[in-house]
Amino acid sequence: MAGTGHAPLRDDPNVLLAVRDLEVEFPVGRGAVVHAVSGISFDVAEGETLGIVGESGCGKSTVAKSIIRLNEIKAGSVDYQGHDLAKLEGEPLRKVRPDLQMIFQDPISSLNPRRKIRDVISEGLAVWGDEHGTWSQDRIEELMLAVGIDPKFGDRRPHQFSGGQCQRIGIARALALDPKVMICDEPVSALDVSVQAQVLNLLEDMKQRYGLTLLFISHDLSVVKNVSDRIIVMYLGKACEIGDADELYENPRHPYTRALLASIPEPAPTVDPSDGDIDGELPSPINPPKGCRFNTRCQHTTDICFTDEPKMQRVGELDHYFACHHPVEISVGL
Amino acid sequence: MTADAQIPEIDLVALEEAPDDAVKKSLGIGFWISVAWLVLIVVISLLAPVLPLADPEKIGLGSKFQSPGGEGWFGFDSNGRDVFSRVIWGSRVSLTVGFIAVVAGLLIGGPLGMMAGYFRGWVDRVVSFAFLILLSFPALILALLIVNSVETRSLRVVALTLGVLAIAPVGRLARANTIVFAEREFVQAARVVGAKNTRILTRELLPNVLIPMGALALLGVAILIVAEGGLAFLGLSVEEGATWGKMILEGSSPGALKDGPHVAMFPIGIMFLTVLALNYAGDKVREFFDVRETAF
Repeated sequence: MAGTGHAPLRDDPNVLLAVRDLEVEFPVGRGAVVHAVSGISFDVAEGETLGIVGESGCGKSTVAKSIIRLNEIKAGSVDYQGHDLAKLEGEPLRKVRPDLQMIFQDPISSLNPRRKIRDVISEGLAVWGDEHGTWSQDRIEELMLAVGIDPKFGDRRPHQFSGGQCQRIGIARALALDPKVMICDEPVSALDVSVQAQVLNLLEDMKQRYGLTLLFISHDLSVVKNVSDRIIVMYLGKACEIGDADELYENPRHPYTRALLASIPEPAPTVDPSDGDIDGELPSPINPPKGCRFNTRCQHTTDICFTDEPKMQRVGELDHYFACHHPVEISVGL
Repeated sequence: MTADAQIPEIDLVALEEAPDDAVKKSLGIGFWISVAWLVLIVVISLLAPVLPLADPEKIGLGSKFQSPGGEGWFGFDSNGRDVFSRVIWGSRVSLTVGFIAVVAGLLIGGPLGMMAGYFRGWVDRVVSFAFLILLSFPALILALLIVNSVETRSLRVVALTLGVLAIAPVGRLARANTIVFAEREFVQAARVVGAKNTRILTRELLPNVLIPMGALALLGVAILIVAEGGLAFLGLSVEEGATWGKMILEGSSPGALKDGPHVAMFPIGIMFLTVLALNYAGDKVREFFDVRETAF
C-alpha cells in the first residue's frame, strides 16, 4: 500500500476540502521520527461523508487532527475555500476554525470536568460573540434539545452524564458554531454498542439538518460502511484504496482492503474469509518498509513490491482508486 | 444551524438516565476539627488588640519562669513577660508571614508554571531553569542573603523572602498539573472552537490546576510557619515584637529549658497543632476535589 499520487483528487466544483500529499512526522527523540502520515491525497465534496478506516496506528486520527491543525504538518496542503490550512498561522487560522469542528474519541476526556455543560456547549459562541450564530441561552437550549439532552441538566457537570450523553454534549458544542465540516475522530468507539447506534443516528440527523460535510474516522468497518458515501482505507500512513463506499465494499481491489473486509465477523458475501489472514503486526512507522508498505504482510508480493511504491490508479471510469502492484481480480472470491 | 431549524424529534429516552448528584463525599470530622482550630487561631490573632491581654512586651509581670497558673495561663518567661499574651501576638506575625509568603509564591510561581506547562518549548526551558536555580540555592542561604541585605527586617521583608522560596515549588506543581491537563482532549476542543491561549489558560486549565495548588498552599503556610522559626534561630526573623520562632528560641536556652520548659513548650505546641491542622486540611481538600472523571 503505499499509494501516492493525485489520481483520487476530483476536479469537481463541489469539492470543499482537498488534502494534497499530506505528511506528518513526530520526533520521538534521538533523531528518530515516526512517519505517521506519508503523503496522502484525497478530497471531500460538500455534503459528503468520507470514511477513513484502518487499523490502530495507521495515521487516520493524525490525518484528522492535521486538517484542523492540532498537529504540526510537515509537508503538503489542505485546501479549504481558498485557504491552505497547512500554511495558516495565528489569527487567520483562528478565523477559519469555526468552519471546521471536531468530535473527539473520548467523550469524557473531551469535556472539562470543572465546567457546567451549558458553559462547555456555549464556549464557541462565547469566544466568537454573534459572529457565528446567536449567543443566547435560548440557543444553548435549542442545541441541547437538538442532541437530545434535556436543557434542565445544563448546570450539571460532565461526570454526571454517561459516555453517550457526553458525546452528545460534544456534538452540541461542535454544532454551536454552525460549522461546514465536522471531523468525527472515532466518535463511537468508546461507547457501548447500544449507545453507538443512537449517536450514529444523531450524527446522521445533524448532517441532514445542518448540511454538514463529515469526515468519519473509525476502525470499525461496519460502522464506516453505514455512514459513509466514500471511503479511504489507510495503512501505515498511506492510502491503499479510495472509492465509493458500496463499490469499495463490493469490489475491493487491494489485498489489505480485502483482508479488512474479511475480518468483519459476518464476512461480506463477496469476500473469502481466508483473505482475512494477515500475519504479523503493523511494522514500525519509525522505519517503514521500502516499496509497498504492506509488503511485510501481503500474500501476493513479488520483487517489485519491495522496490517500487505503487501509484494510485483508477478502476475504469468508476469512483474507485487503489494503489497495488497486484490488485485482486474482481472475479476472485465471487 | 439555521434559526428556523425545527425542533427535532429527539429520543429523550437517554435523558432520564442522567445520574442524580453523585454520592455526597464527606470531608470527615478531622477536617472540621482542623478548620475549627485554624479559625480559632486566626480569629484570636485578629482580635488580639481588643482582647484583655497583658502587654506582651511588659517586663516583670510575673516572676522569672513563673509556672502557668491563675496569673498567667501559659506562665511567664525569663523576663517575667506573659507567655499567653506573647503566643497570641506572635501568631499574628507567624500567620501573616506564612500567608503573605504563600500568596506571593502562588501569584508569581503559579502563572509562570502554567505558562511553562502550556507553551512548552523555550518558555518552558527558561522558566524551568529559573525554578531549578531557585531550588538549588540552599533555602536558608538564599533567605540569609535577602534578609541581610536590607536595613530593617520588617514583617514584609521576611514574608517576601520566604515568598521567594515558595515560588519554585508552587511553580513546578503548576507546571506539572498544566502539562497533564493540556494533553486532555477538552483543551484541544477549546482550541478547535477558536479559543485563544489566554482563554484556554484561564477558563480550561486554571480551574483544574487551582485545586492542587490550593491544597499545596495550605501545606505551604505550614512549611513557612516552620521556616520563620528557622530564621528566628539565626536571629533573622522579624525584628519587632514576638514571633513563635523567636519565643521558641528564647525558651530553648539550657537554663530556660531546665527552669521554665513552659516558655518553649507553649509556642511549640501551638505551632505544632497549627501546622498539623494546615497539613491535614490541605490533604483533605485535595482529596475532596479530586474530580471524578467518569460517570461509572
